Amino acid sequence: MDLFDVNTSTLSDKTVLIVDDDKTIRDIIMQNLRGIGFQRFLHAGNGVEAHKHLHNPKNSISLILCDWDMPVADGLTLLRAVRGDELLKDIPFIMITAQQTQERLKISQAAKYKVDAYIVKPFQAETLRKKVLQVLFGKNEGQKEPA
Amino acid sequence: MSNAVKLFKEHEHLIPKGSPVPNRRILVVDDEPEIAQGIQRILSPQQNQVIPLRSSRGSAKPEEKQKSEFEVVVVNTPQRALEEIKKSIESNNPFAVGFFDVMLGAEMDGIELVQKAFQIDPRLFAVFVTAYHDRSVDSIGNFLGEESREKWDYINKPFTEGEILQKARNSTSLWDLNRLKDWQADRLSEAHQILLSVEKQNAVAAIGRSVAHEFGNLLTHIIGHAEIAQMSDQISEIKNSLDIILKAGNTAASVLKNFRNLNEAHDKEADFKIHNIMHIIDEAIELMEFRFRRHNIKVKKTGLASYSAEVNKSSIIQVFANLFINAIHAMPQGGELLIDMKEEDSSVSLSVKDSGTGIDEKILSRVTEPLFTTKGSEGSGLGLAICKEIIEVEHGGSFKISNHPKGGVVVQFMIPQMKEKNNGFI
Repeated sequence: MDLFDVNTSTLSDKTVLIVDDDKTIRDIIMQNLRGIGFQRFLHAGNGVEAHKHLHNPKNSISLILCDWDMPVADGLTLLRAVRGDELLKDIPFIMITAQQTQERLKISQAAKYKVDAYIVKPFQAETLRKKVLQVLFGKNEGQKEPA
Repeated sequence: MSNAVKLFKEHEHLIPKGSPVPNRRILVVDDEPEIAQGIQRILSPQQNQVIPLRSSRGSAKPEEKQKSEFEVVVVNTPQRALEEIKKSIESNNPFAVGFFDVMLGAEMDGIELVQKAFQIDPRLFAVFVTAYHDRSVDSIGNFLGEESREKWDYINKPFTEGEILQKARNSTSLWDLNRLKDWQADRLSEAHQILLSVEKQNAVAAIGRSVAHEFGNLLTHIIGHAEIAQMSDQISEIKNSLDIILKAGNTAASVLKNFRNLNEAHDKEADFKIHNIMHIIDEAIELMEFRFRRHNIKVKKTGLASYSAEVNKSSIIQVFANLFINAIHAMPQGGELLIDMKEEDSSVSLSVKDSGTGIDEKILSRVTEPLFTTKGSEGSGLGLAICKEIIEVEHGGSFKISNHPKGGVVVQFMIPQMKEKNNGFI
């Protein structure tokens, strides 16, 4: 999936929820996504803050990018809450993890709750963009893509 | 074959190679040749017969071919006795037991001889052969002292064959058992050292996981902002990215330096130097920073801002890392970790308190026992036991864990400002 394969003009309407306790990383993700046309972002420092954004009826969130390791409520807790909620369960969810041996266990845990993709820290802009586009448009070659 | 010899045969695989066990060598010291040879005849009939008979009859009778239970060396003077004992030690073929006549009719009596013999061979077991008119058993005990109490016994004259045989069997078996005990104590001490070093590695690994996480984030900062800067044509944005990259690089360098210090210091055993304890605490906190943040734990320091003491830095970091890991487990929903430092009688008094639910009073006294754990397969059960050992044995301090009246667990420990000599790790 590449930038040229999709109609990126639709991205400006989509709201991305970025969840990470590290503000610098949230800003990097935001800037990377701005580069391909996203314009609407919501930030959260942990799972509880993210959950508040998700339940605010004013927000129509199209994609969640979430760090695994966070205080208060971690990525897996948020993923389970999202997948267990009738209204939220179909929102694409990308999990960001740190690279280490225990990640395998985490990935199998996350797979149980149908995570759409993983990104391993540290990541490059290209990887992030590709995964995001794949998750939003890749599943059924453009079926999900509004005209 | 005596029971002890049988026991050793059955457990041969447990006995180290080159061990003198089972040892049935006996020294008999008596100035009267008839008594000395009498004892030898009882303990080693064949040995006694073969020497005179071999030349006259040529071959021994079949029953005489059976090896004697004991190998007996007979001497008639204290001087010869000491020479034999010296020789036995030099040739690594020690005597298990010596039968010592008390009245040796020489410049030295049997008791003085045994005292000298113990100096040459502290493992030797002595049996005094006494007559009623000789020195009393009490006076032997007083002369040889409390520390030798387990190393001697006596038999009264006149004795029967059975008594001599029984004494010889009992005391040689005792010698064997004591060697086996020494050997097991050595193995236990080796195992203990291995456990210590494994636990150190566990603490380093736990810190390593925290550091790896931290690096994942810092590298994300660096890579992310390098890319942002590359794409940007605004000087202010590029400068901002470079600032963030520089800051992340410096933080990573500092974390790496602490981590490397921890590993390097870890290689040098008992490396005692004067350190500012607060710097050590700060390093331990920095190494665990990621896990504190991840678990929403606020760390607060109170009391002295600085105190210098002679410590093994890597051990003290290990103590704090273990206490921090326990505190994180005790506060899964986050909380507050209080570290307090005070000076008390030329010692530094430290306390680490969490805001968790505390420890069940029923098990509180057991938590510093080796292998005790409440964490199931996640805990090695060695963390607190090792902390206690590091503080009390390595640093000559004191270590106490209790429930705080206001809730949570508090670990209090003291470290003397200067390490006392002769108080180090063995």
